Amino acid sequence: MKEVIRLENVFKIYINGKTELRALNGVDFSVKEGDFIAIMGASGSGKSTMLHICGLLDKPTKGDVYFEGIRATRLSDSQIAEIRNKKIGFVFQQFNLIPHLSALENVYLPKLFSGTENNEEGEVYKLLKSVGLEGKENRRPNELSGGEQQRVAIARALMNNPDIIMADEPTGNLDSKTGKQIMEILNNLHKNFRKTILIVTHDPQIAKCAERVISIKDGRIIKDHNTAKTYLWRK
Amino acid sequence: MKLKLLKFAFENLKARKLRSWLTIIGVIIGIASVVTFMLIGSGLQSSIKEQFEKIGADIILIYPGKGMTGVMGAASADKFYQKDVDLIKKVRGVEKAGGMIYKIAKVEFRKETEYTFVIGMPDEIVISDFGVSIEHGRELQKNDKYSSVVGYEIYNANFFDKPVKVGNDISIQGKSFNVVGSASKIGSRQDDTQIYIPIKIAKEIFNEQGYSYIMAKSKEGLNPENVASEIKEELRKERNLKRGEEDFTVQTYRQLLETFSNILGIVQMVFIGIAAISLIVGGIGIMNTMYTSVVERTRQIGTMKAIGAKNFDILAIFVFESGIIGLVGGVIGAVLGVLAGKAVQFASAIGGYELLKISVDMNVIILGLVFAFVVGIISGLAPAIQASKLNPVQALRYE
Repeated sequence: MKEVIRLENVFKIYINGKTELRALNGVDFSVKEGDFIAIMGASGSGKSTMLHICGLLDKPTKGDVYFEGIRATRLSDSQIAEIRNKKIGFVFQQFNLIPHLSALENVYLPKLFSGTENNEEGEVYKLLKSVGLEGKENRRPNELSGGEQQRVAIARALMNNPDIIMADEPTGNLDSKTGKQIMEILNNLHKNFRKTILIVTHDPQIAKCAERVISIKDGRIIKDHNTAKTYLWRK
Repeated sequence: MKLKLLKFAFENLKARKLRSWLTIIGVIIGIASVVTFMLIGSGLQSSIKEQFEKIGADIILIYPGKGMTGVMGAASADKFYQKDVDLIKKVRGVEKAGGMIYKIAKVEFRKETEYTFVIGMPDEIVISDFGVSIEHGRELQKNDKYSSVVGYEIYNANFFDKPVKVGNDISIQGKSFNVVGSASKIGSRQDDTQIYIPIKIAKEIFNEQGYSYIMAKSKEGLNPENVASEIKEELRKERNLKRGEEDFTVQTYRQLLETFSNILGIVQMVFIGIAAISLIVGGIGIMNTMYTSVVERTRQIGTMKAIGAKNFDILAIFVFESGIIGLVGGVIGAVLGVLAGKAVQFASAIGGYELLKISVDMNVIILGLVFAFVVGIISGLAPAIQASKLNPVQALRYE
């Protein structure tokens, strides 16, 4: 399998006054095409930072990040924005929809920034239908339930048909039943559309869906299990 | 260019309607006042020009004092005597000259009492020399004694309750005068309520020996400005004054109007300056809203960056927003500015000053719009740059 993301000896250090916080403390890690990876860890362990660095949303203090073999740490802000726009789809715990835009407009947003816009409303309708929001296209986020909002966010992440989906605690704000439905959507994207998926969670039930689980503590990877089942079984 | 960002910016403004409109109002006030003052200024300038075209370019005025104060001071001071007039008459290039009296007098007509300016007219000068024609009756003539020509408004019953017709008698400073003519409309209330009487009688009723000012006419084919400096030179010598220390002013009508026009220009600049300050305040209002907006939308900015917005896209969105505020404020402000200008024209016409005509100058409007848009962009630039430089991860974490 082709390697899509590689982290080489990555450090992320925050300096707050006199204290130094090592969010990532020498991480080596790689993601292959078609992976479904869960990154687990307690809060403050550095798992979100790791996702942000994999998703080129943040830059390491030290070390290198390669994206599809290209040294991303050398790219300009706008080149990186282009990669995020076309190759990566983000899903957040807080959904992060634009409140005054309809579901339709929210989903369309990545197209707005890609510069290759032609009228693709049909595409947006299809995407919203695929996440089960048919008929709710013109609703605003506050007219949708949490689960529905997260579905909009997933549709938005898929707008430019990226290879990779990155989700930071996507079920963290949802009840377990809704959370399960969201995970089913992600699972489906992985199985049937061969999307590479990285998900950050502290919930073992969620991590169970993944094929590979990374445990992270104090900014270091402490365990890298190839299958989630083994991990859970050992636990 | 990603034009859809413009629509997005518009949606963002619509999402905070009240605040957007309040900010726009700030711009409206600024642009409206700039446009109003510009229109009034150019309206006044062109009315002065119109005046100038009416009155002969060959008229030269000699009045006491220095510069503009002289014209106003002419009503009270009497620094000229017949010898000065005689001197001026002898100056090369002078066709004719005459001393005049310009004073406020008590005027009565059919038991109504008013106060107005009375002009003592010398034999040498006729009313039509001012560019004012005689509408009814005749000019004052050499042998006239207690005769008078009344201004347009007096004749048309806009001064006394009843119209003062040719043949009527009016009383000036207690003496009865027969009305022999009426002047055509000049356009300002003060000028149109004047009464012209012979100079000899004016001297008598005001108990004056001298003149308020002297009016001369240069010979045809000569440059009136050269004749004016000739007069100035002779008068200076005669009075034994050093150059630059003259206690009088000699100006051609053109120079007088230029002086007026210059002063008007300065006044106009002051007003436009004040208006511009209000526009700056409007700009600060835009900056304030945009900064607030950047802070409020920090997470949205983070999200947009996460889904692939480039720094320039974020910058464009915010600059578009402030630009739209500026432009909308500019359009409404320009319309209101024109309306306010027209209102001033209307009000001054009611007040008797009909010379002011506000013409809708497209250059002023376009200038106003461009100005508003530029103010919008400039005010929005700093907040937009701040927004575009936000770190996406920190922005996403912002509560």
